[in-house]
Amino acid sequence: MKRWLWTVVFLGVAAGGVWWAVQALAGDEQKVRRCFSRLGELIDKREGESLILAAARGQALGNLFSDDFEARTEVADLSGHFTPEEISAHAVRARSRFSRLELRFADVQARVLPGGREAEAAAVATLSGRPQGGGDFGTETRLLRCRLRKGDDGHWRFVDAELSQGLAR
Amino acid sequence: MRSGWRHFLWPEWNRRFLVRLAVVAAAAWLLFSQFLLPLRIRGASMEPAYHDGGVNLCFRGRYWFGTPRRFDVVAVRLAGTRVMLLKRVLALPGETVAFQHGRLLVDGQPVTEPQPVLAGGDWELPPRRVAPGRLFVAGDNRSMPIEQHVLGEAELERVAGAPVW
Repeated sequence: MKRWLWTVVFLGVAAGGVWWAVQALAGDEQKVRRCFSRLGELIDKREGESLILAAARGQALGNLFSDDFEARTEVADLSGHFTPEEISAHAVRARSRFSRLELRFADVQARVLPGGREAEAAAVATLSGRPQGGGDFGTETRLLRCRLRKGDDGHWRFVDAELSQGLAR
Repeated sequence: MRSGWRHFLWPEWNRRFLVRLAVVAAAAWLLFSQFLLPLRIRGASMEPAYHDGGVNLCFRGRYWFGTPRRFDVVAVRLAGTRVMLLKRVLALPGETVAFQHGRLLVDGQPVTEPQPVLAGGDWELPPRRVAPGRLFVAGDNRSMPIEQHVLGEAELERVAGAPVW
């Protein structure tokens, strides 16, 4: 094989190694972004999900939130202060109403504040799913602005979140 | 001629070809990530001008040397440029905008919109003054209840561009 082709292969492998190292040594901003992907994974539901898995996901979901999480939404029932246990219970109940659910985040912007213990983040959340009774829930898109705090265990947790349509009505 | 086609469809992977490929890929990335953002339209709020499922390009340079005018269609950023709102500018900073029985009023005067709109929702919106540095935007589909329609004020800095067609 020609030398230049070996060079291309070497550069590809080297680039992959650098990418892996960056992922492994991710900074706090990367960890904050991962909270969103983790939240999406835990909300997602496929048809035929077992009760045990649903409960485990609800439990894990609560661990992403701080002890006194504040939500601000257009819906009064979903606004207020919640404990992780309340969030778990809400999530299990809400997910049980759907046979399929998908939450995706796009344009995740994260900024760690001076001091390194708090971060501000914004993202576009897209929720789609199919209710248990049939039909189609459609797709809802909202702008999510939130604050996260780093715990003593090094994990980032959501402290507050505001969901809006993105335009001042 | 036949060998020319064969060469075009199945080129020899030599250094020159790889350089050309890299240049074309870099140019395409630059063009479609910075200047002409591909858009897929979701939702019916801009019917009849833009249909659900339609595709377009957002030209980011549209307002580099100017500001949006009334009835321009603009793409409004939310958190970034992957998901944006496609809306029509109805009122400019400092103007008062309202809807009465589905009719658009700007500074208290009825305004005839040049573009076709889907009427029937009988929108009612009390007069409101658009804050400085903001635009009032809404969709063309006024057949849906105003409560279900995403409309309101957007900061000028969040206007990412305009659709190409």
